[in-house]
This record gives sequence, C-alpha cells and structure tokens, in this order.
Amino acid sequence: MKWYNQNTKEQLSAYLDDELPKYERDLLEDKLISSAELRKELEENKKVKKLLSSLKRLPDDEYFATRLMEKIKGEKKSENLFSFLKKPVVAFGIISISLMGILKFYPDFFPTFLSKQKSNIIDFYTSNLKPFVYVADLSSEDIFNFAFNNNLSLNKEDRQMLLLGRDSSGNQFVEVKYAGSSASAFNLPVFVKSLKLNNVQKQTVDSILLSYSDDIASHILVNDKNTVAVNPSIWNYHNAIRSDLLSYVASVNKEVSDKIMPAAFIANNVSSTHRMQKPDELDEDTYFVFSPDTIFTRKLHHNKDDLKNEIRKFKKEMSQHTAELNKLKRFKIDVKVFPDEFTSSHEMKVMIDSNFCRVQIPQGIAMESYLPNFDSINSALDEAFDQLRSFNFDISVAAPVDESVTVYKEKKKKNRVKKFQFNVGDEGFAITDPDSIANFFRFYFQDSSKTFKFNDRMNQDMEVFKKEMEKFKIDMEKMRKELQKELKKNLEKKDPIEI
Amino acid sequence: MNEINKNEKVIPQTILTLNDDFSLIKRFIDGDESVFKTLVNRHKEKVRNLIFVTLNSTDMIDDISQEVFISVFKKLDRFRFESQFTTWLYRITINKCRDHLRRVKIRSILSPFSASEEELSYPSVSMNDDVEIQEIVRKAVAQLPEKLRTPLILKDFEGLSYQEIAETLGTEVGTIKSRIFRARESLKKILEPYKKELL
Repeated sequence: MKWYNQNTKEQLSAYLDDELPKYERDLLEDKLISSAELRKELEENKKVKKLLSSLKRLPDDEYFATRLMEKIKGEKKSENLFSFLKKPVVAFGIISISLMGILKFYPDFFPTFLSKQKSNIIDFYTSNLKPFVYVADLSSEDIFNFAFNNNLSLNKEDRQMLLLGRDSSGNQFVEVKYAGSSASAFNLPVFVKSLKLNNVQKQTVDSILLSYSDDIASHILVNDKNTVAVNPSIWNYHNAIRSDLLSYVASVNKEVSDKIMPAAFIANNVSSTHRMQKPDELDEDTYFVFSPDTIFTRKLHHNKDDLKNEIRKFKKEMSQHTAELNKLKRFKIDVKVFPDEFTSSHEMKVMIDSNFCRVQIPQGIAMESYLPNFDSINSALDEAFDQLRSFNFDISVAAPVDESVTVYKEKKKKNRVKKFQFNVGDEGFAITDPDSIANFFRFYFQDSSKTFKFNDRMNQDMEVFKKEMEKFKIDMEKMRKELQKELKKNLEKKDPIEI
Repeated sequence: MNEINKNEKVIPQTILTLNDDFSLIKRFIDGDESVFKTLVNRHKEKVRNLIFVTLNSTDMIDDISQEVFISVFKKLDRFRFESQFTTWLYRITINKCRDHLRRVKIRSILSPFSASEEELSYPSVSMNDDVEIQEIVRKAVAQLPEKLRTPLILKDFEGLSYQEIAETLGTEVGTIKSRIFRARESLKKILEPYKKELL
C-alpha cells in the first residue's frame, strides 16, 4: 500500500523539474531515501519526461523566413491600398458622399431602381403563363363544384383550391386556399339523382358544364414558377353556369323548379336553357397574380379565342403524351411573402393566413363588358341554390323527359347562341325572348336603384298586403285608445290612503 | 538566400543573447523592419516544433507558423518589454493552435465520419523502431486534454520554467505545477499498454 499521498506525488513531479523550494526539496529527499516505492515513482516520471524531451525536432526550414517576408510584403501592399477604408469614419463618409451625389444628379435613381426590381419580379412571375388546363383537366364535376360550392381544385394532390366568395360586406373575393376540402354533400351525382335525370338529360348537364371548361381555363393561368393568375371575371362565369343550370332545372322539372325558385324566378314558360351571347374580342384583362413571393394585379393581354384554340390544341396533343402531362401537374402554389409595396389599399385588399391568401375584387376593376352585371340577380341565384341544396330529395317529382333538349357541344355553339338574345343598350339590358323568364322581371344595370320590377300578380299581392297592414294599424290604434280610457277610469276611482 | 546571409552578417546569431530580442524589437519599432527577419530566424524552429507537438500533424505547420509571425509583425510595435519575447511568442502560437483545433473540431462535428479510426487506435509496433516510439508518444500527448497538454509540452519539450509557462498561459505557478503533475499521470495511463517497452 502506498503510504504517500497525492501531494507528495505532485511534489515529486515538481522536484523532477527542479521547481521545489529548498525546504520542501530537503524533506522530499529524506522521504526518497526511506521509500523505495517513491524512488520507483520518481524513476517512472523521469522516463516520461525523457520521452517528451527526446521527441525529435523538425528539420530546420531555412527558407521559412524568406517565404514569410514575401507574404508580409504582399499583405502590406494590399493593406496600404485599402487601409483608409478600414477607418469607419472614412468609409461612412465615402458612402454618404456617393449617396448624396446619386440623389443630387439622379433624384429618381432609387424609385426607378425599386420600380425596375419590382417590374423584374412581376415579369418573372408572369412569364410563360399558360391556361389552367395545362396542369389539370377540368371535369364536369369540377365545374359543378365550382358553380355550386364556389371552389375549383387547383392541385388535387396538395388539396389547393381556388375559392370564390363574399365577405360580410358583400364584396366579392378570390381566394387561393391550401389544404382545403372540396368534398361537399351536394355534388353532381346528388344533383342528377335529386332531379331524377335520365341519361340524355345527364349528358345535357355534362355538356352545359363542360362547355364552360375552356372559359374557366382561360381565366386561370399558371406557369412553371408556381404562379396562378386569376381573372376576376371568372365570377361572371360562375354565375353564368349557375343560371344555366337553374334554367335547365326549370326546363326539365317544373315541379322542382317551383319549389326551389325564389318568387322572382317563378315562371310558367321556362322551357329552354339559356346562354349568354359573347362578343368576339375582349378589351382589358386584369388578373390577380398569386406568386410564391407576392400577390399583385397585372393586365395580361391575351386574346381569349387564341387561348381557347391553344387549349384545344394542347388537349389534343396531351391526349397522346400522358407522361408529359403528369410532369406538368406538379404545379403547386405557395405564397410565402407579401411585401406591402406591391399593393395598396386603393388597389386591392389582400388577406394572408396560414392556409389561404385572399384578394378582394376592387370596385374599379373592369369585368368583361359583354357579360351582364350579375349583382342584381345574385341574391336570387343564391336563394335558388340554397333551396336546391336543402331540397327534399324523397319528394316524388315527375321529371318530364324532354328529348328535344339541346345537347351542348362545341360544334353546336352557334345554334345555342342563337336561341336567346340580350339587348344591351344605354338603359341596361333585358331578356327579350318572349318564352323566357324576361316576362317576369327586368334587370336595370345602369339604374341606380338596381331593383327588380315584379310582375302584375306580385304587385296585386303586395297591394292586398299593404291594405291589410293599414287595416291592422287602424285596429291597433283603436285598441290603444280604449285601453287608455280604461286606465284613466281606474285611477279616478281610487280611494285616498288613510294614515 | 543571399538576403539571409546579408542579415546574418549584420547581426550574427552567435553573439546575440536573450536580451538581444529586446534590442531587435526596439530597432523594429524605430522603423527598421529588416530586423524582423532576424527575429524570425531566431525563433521559427521553436514555433514550428511547438505547433508540431501540439497538433501532432505536419500538415498545417507552415501555415500556422506564418500566421503566428504575421500576427507578431502586426503587433510588435505594441510589445511592452514586461516579459520575455519568447513568452509572448509562445502565447500567440498556442492561441493560433487553439484556433486551428477549434476549426477542426467544428469541421468534424459537421462531418462526423472524417475522423478515421486509425488515428485514434494504438498501432502495433516493434519497439525497436525509434520512429514508431516517437509516433506513439506524440499520439499519447495528443490525447491529453489541451489544458494539461500545453504546460507539459512547454515544460518537457520546450524547457520553460513554471514561471514562464504561467506567464505564457496567464495562470498561477501553482496551477501549472498541478497541471504538469496531472499530465504526467495521465500520460502514464495512456502509455500503460507499452509500459514494459517505454517505462
């Protein structure tokens, strides 16, 4: 057993290095004389020390100093050149003077620079925009969902969708939603089932829906930079599909139609579907562009007919190249950053949340001029659709089989357009087809009142109701007077209180 | 080469004493930068060997040695003549070695598979081979913690006193005494597999 402690061993180490004071050295030497174990410890330490001190040195590098001096010389040169810049005051002064010079001679430098950068970003994200059909083929069910449930699936895999809606103030908005659900209880099969449509009628519904496919696709543009550009006029197509479907419902099943249509829509003679006539060319196209970095509006000058031709050509080509089509379908929208300077309140209102980005359609944006302003019938359309949604499907309704219903296909487009007419004039427009619902109400788009003109039957009902209300008012007044008299009598009869 | 000879003629190394470092530094501060080369030639081997033993690698010796002397060149006009020049030089050298080891450590964290097993294992050697014994000792020293390794190297390899080591490392003499003892104890444990041949 070792009799010496850690301190003695530490002293032994220092003794070996000749670092002990004389007094301690003498004491340790006494211990060394008497302890063979301690002497052995000292020998081991000596060997360890020798191992280190005998480590071989590196061979002398005689050119080291020369290389070093060359390096120092090189560093000094570069330092002398820019040494003045190392002083913060000098550097700050140079930057300030440069900025002042730029601002003095080119006052528009920074605004121009920023505008150019902004323009570069916008150009980058709006380049190579293609119709939506390039990344997704729209089915009749998609279009039905778009009309009824206000959503259009942009990317089924990532559940990204385009939503149309109205905020609490009634302002229309376009919204790109992430991880949204397009599933709805009221879909195309339910619609077909509830109306008990036969195959021919179902085909007609499909053809009505699909006839809007290219219109929708040309109002939603996408590119390989994960940008989606939406033309706010898509709202009009949304309404147009709804009105077309309602007209068709009315034509095939009057009983159902009577139940779901609001008063203004109740018609006796609705027997054919209606489409709006379209002009050949468009003027202005303002798109809302949702890009990975920002949201902005841009006028994109596309000829709709050219776009549609392109879409048809693309569809034809892609039917032969499904692999290429699948590659294109990797499109994904991801809006992350939204710099304020890209929009301002007077241009558009944007809301960004974790799972959606919404752009409110400003009043000033010109919608496609050839389409009627749907504002006046929107509420009626909404009411009709709500009732259709909550319609009791078990009610037995005799759905008349109308084999003469026109099946809409692209080839028959001209015929279809001829089936009805809108007269658009200074006063607004009115449906003048004698067999249409135009007999029951008119739209006044230029008129500030923007109200319906009800038919005579409705006006008579209103008159009767008014008279009844007047009578009720007179009765109420009589009752009130009688009550007052009664109350007065009771007060007069009251005895004084005795104290 | 001619330049070295020229300088050595002007200030022959043989007649320089320890205090001559101070006189060279004074001349440097007075504007005679040519004396710096003499100063480098006087101490370059100490610096190079200290780096070699500390890092146990020859790869970076030249680069780190140059970094040390460039740092000395830049700071020499602020030298206060309160301690020996070598103490100051060793301190700079040790700091540069620490910086290097820190960089290597960060790199090894970022790429954990870069350190090979071979570097960490004990080689099986024939103890007759002196070169291999040297290698074993260097590796054993390299395994010591930095705060034990540096005082031991400065003592046993460089031959500095406890006082000089304390000044170089900025610690107390008692601490150095304790660290050198602990370093030797650790080294003995590391070299235990070779006890018969080495100790």
